[in-house]
Amino acid sequence: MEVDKGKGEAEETRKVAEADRDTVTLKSSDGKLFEVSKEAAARLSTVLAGMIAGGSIDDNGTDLKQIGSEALENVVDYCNKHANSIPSAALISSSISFNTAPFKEPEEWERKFVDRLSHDALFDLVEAANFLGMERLLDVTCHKISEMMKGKSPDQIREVFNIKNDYTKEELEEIRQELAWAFYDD
Amino acid sequence: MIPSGASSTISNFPAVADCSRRSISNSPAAADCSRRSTEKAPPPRRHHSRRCVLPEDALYEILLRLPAKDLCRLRAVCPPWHSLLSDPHFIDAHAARHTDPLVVVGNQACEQNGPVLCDIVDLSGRIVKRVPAAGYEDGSRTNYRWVRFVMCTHADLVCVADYGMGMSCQLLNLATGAVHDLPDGVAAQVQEQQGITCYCAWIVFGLVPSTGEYKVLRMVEVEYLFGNPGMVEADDFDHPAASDHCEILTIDGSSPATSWRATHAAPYDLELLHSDSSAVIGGIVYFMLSYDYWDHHGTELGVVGSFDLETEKWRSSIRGPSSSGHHATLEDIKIAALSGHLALCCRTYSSSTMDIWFLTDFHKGSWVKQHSIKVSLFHVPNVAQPLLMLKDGRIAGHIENWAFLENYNQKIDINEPQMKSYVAVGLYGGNLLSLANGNAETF
Repeated sequence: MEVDKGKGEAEETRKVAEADRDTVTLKSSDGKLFEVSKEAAARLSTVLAGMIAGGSIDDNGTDLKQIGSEALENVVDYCNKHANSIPSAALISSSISFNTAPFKEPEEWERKFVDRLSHDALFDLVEAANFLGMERLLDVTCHKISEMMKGKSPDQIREVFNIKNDYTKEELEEIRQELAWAFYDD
Repeated sequence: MIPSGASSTISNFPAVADCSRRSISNSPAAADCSRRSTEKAPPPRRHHSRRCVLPEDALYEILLRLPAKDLCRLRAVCPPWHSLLSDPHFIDAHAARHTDPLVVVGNQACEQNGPVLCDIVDLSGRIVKRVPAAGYEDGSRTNYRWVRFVMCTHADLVCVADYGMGMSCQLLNLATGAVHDLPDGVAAQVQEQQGITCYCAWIVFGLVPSTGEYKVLRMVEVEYLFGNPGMVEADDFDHPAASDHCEILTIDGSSPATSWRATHAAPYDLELLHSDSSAVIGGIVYFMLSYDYWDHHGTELGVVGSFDLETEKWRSSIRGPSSSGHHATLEDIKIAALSGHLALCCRTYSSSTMDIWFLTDFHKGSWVKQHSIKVSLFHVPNVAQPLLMLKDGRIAGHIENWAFLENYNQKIDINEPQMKSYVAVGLYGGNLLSLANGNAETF
């Protein structure tokens, strides 16, 4: 897919040279550099697509100050794997109907990709995917987190999400009674 | 919702805060947050210093994916989650994403006088929610040896009655678990009669679309122990003279319904033997007419009668599909509300099929054959009553106390046949996440 059609004729030589490359270099908050396929980056991330089209990609490493190296490595890994596995048409159709369509099940390799991540790495990846406008990756990571949450007690969820229990004992008891059916197992 | 034009926010990374202080866009959660903390959101923290801090849109997407039961439980996590998970916008979005139908299965918990249990079951047979209710709390009533039946369902409401034996009727709200006793006694007009015994022969309720009220219609069988002047004399004490009265009760939600009103008796004999011989669609109650009636008169006078809950008038009977005259007994024909249509399911022995006819024009009495299902031995002796049509063409329904999912020739039990007594099956039209459904909230 051509991603640099919008470039003007009078671009600086450096930028023209950069446009000819088929990878872009991304720089994490802690200064590490990662190379990613330009085609995949533009296809999977609305933010990167905008930067590539707008010529704001830095050949020496585009600063992504909000993304740590571990999360960025996972993003790049995901893009490179994705480049070889799903035709873009399928991806486009899934993203158009993102808000109303039934949830699209992750592919087997996507499942494996998120299964190996720790909680922290997974949550960081959600944040990075959200920041970069990567709908498909968000879909996959949100699916994984929702799977982890199924059947968990409020206490367990508070621990995983690092949420303080703001309820009084009485308030909690009231909710438990009101929604008793949701608290016992099948 | 995921922002698609996120490129403009590159220097404006979404503020990250603890979930406990997080508000969700367009949700009332924000109001609760202010009570918890007024400090400014902390600056974005690096991944080593914190866990589990998610952008709100992502959290919203994650929660939308969870089943209703999990979400109800997670209202106990923190007040902002409670607000989000009770927010009508969230509940609507959740319902739009989780469209799998649910079925209400009403069980008699024990042989007699036990509480009625209602299970909300998904199509894989898993019990999603169990509502124990509608038992006899009043010890004096346990003298009655009657058995309660689940009679009909609408949205989150289930009607339970001492069908065929007593007069006690209750509405059970599946969302709140509340039990609403319908008024005891009969309409004044019936009460004036001397020496009678009454029992509820049939009860059905439905929503009147134009007013948003629920109306309950019941048929009371009145027995005149010593004969009734002007009516047929009782032959003997074993076979007292009897007549049917129709009564109606309006439930508008604002004031408790106090008494039943007598209404016109049906102009035809109704077939009220089976719990599935009526269907309610758009404020009209449809009944199968008595087999004796349409057998003796041929199909001239029709097989289906109906009552308009809004005008409280009986409507003219309609004939069945042209082929229904071939049916030997009433066992071979069932009435159902299917995809918002009145449907008749007719068993044809000669071809071993069950045809499902949809009523397309009430005034002309025209029916269209929509489906033809090959019936297995399983369907003997009764015709199954379909409940709903799935998008992929499968049909879910029930037969006696079995619920099933039918893929034409392939049958899958959705509720393990435990052979419980008196099971009724209906479509669940409520929402597990909502605590109230219109008028139901006052019960």
